[in-house]
Amino acid sequence: MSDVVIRVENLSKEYRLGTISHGTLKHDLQSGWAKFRGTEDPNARIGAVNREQLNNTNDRFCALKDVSFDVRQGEIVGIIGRTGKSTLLKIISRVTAPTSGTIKIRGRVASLLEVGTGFHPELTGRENVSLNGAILRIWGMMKEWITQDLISMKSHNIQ
Amino acid sequence: MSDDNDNTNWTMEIRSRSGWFDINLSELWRYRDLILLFVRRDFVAYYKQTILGPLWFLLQPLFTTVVFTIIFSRIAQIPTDGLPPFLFYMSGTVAWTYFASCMTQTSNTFITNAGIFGKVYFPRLVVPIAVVISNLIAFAIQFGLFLAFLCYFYLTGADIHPNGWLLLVPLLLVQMAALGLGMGILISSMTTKYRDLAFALGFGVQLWMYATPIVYPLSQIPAQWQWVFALNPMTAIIETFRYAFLGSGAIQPWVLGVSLTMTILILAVGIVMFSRVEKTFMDTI
Repeated sequence: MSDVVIRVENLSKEYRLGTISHGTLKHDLQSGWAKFRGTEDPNARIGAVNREQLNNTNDRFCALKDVSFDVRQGEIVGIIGRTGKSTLLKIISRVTAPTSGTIKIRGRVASLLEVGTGFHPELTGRENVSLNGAILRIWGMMKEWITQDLISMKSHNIQ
Repeated sequence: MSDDNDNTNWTMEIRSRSGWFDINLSELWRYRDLILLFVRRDFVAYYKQTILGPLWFLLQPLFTTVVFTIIFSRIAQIPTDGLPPFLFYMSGTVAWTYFASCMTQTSNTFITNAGIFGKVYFPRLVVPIAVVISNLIAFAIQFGLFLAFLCYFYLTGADIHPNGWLLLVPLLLVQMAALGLGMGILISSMTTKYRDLAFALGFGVQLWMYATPIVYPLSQIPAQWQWVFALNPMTAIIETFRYAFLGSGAIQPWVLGVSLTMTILILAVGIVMFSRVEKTFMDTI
């Protein structure tokens, strides 16, 4: 249907726990060298037999598994559940990429920021507002009324 | 639900991180207003809450040049190709500062912006590109200072010869920006995983400066080691920059060619790495 504005198809997001990296080059090199020689990984977790086992499914966390749904124009949708709510929103707002699956979007996505995210304390209110407007790609449509609002605020001496 | 018009009219499609060359540069152009706003933010925030304000842009190269002149020229007595030592060091310092600040300030893109990157999408390259442009403003100020001293020395009859190579200067500037950006985003792509690199960068820049003919002329290097210096892309840039304004130096066209090739290579690898990391770095940072 043409009035579908968000179509989520077979979306999955998987996090690997602890095995992406040890965080320092030294440990990664150690583990890589051990794997290369076929010896025991000195940085492996106690109890884990080898790196293959570490990469097994029990060390993966599936935040989203095969999620599909449509959102139509004008619909208001709430998401409830145990896991994956914010992961789903993060993927829709393109903060992180899914492991598999696709999302098709018609229109513009504007995530609601916490107040002050991306505000710079040294900039003026007007500069911060235009910066955030540009980030959210809504500057064009709010430019006029915000400029007017700021002017009327100024005339009331509210800084 | 029908699927007949499934592939039409979608404004965007979000897919998993697929290939190595999943790069969307055209999007950057659409976000050019954001780049300009970030440039303004970076530039203004730099000197806010300082007493001397934008004057700092002038004091830094001035003091560095004075210190270099005293230490390397007066005390260590390193020759400067017959050029006035003050101009010799200042030309090197001004050019190097632009490159070095581009590189260091873009090298922590992901870490310093993790807060805003974790909340909202915009092409991540916007941030490092804005840094490179705002540093260009700082460079322009410092370059003006250099030109003022150049005029003074020229009018008082110093042995300097600005020449046709001046036409290459804008190109050198672009190359420094590209190299600084390339190195910076390459490092920032790697520091999401290994923070070690962020520590190494501080003195890495220092070492790189001494490996580049800034406090000594390239002509002082024995002929059999010249090729090592040719591998450093900054060598050709600094030497050409200096030659254009002062008319003395030992730059050969092939070294400039090597430098240009390496710059393009580093920038390309940097963009590929950066585009790859930007999609999922929020999961690992």
